[in-house]
Amino acid sequence: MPRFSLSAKWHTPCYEKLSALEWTSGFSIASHGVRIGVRTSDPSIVPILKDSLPASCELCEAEAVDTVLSVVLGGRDKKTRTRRYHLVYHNHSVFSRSHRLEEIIDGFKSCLAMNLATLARRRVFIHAGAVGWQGKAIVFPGKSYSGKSTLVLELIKAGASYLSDEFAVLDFKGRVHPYPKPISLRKTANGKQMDVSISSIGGTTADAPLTLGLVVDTQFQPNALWLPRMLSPGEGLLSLLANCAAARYAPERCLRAMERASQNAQFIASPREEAASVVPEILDLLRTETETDEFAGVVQGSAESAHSLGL
Amino acid sequence: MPMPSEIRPKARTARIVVRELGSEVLIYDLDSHDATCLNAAASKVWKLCDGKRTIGEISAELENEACGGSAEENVLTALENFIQANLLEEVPEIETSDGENRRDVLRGIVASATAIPLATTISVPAMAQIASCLGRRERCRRFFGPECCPGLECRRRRCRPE
Repeated sequence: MPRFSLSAKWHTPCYEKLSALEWTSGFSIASHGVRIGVRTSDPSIVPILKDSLPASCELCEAEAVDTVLSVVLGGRDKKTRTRRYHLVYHNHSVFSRSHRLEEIIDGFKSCLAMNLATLARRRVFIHAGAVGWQGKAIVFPGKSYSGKSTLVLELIKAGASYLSDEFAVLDFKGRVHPYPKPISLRKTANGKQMDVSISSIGGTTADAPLTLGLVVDTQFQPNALWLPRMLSPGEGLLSLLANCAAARYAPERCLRAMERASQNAQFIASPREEAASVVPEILDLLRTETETDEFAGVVQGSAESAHSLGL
Repeated sequence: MPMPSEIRPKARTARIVVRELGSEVLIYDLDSHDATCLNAAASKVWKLCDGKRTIGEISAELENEACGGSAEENVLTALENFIQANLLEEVPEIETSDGENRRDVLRGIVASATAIPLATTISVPAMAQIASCLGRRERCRRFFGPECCPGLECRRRRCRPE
């Protein structure tokens, strides 16, 4: 069981009390320059936690970590006949609490992703869907419920390679790195997510970073018309910044990565209706994107046809 | 009451991150976490707001480049955008004979200008606000972790219909 060493600012009385509990097993992981310690009160949950790690995470031996996630297993106590909660702590504070183990695993995954996204020093995480097409990355920044995952799913069916449905991970060379995980679709009535594996839909995951080619600021709206408008670099960066995980903590670093990525990219914005109906047009935009005049013509053509319809 | 020509707007320099993107300028406010994109016209005005030039002098410098409307209108509209986005340093609080201060005077002048947006401002959300949302009856925390999905709100530690 590694003894994690955490920055002094986290050594609060709550963290000291938590650390004094009996921790039977733990492991360290590293991803995108972030080191995270995970410890549990019950070794039986370790394989489940390791299975839930994102593909980018590697196990390591580090004891000096950026953050510590602590998983406490509850359950029924036969002596006192009480039912204790399962808990996930992020450093000194409770992140998730439930009697259901699957909710705790979801909480652990969510906490891990948030920490990676905000603490990564060598990468900038944009909350976005991302796919690869003809050697370039197409990114769809957007909040939850904007239809990112549905659009990513349809693009994969059309032959695009998968990068992520949650984060577009930018480096400082203007490339988008894969953040592969099963696509999370909201199918159930209560808004819960259902995971769809890429292989089950016949898709492939990109195995190398791709240069950013196109940023599409779009979200689902019933009865919306697809009218792509070309954004200026500044407007494009605003749309990325509005979905950048670490923007508030490291705005200068985020802007530097986004500015570098935007040098080779085009930005468009439009509302959309069904994802399947706009997929060919989005792929066409990237096809013509290398010829800037032609690209502007395609975008302009869409706007003019809308104008002729009196819109 | 001071004439507009007496007012020397000064662009804010403290607690902001500025990136030049060709003819545009993107400014991130470290205090309010607002990001503002100035278009080419507003960027030129921004660069001339050094606290030494008056509005009249800035307008005169941009006279030849004004496209659509007079240069002074463009400058006043840009200044209005800067005031809204808190991108100007405090104008010295000098009382006029009417009891107004210079900032009020400046605000009054620019309010009369044509309101063509020359800057776009967004509020940059915290990570918790952009992360994937929680479904109905899922456990939530008000100030940390993912938010509840649209149509739901965090009440009594559960996402419940609004």
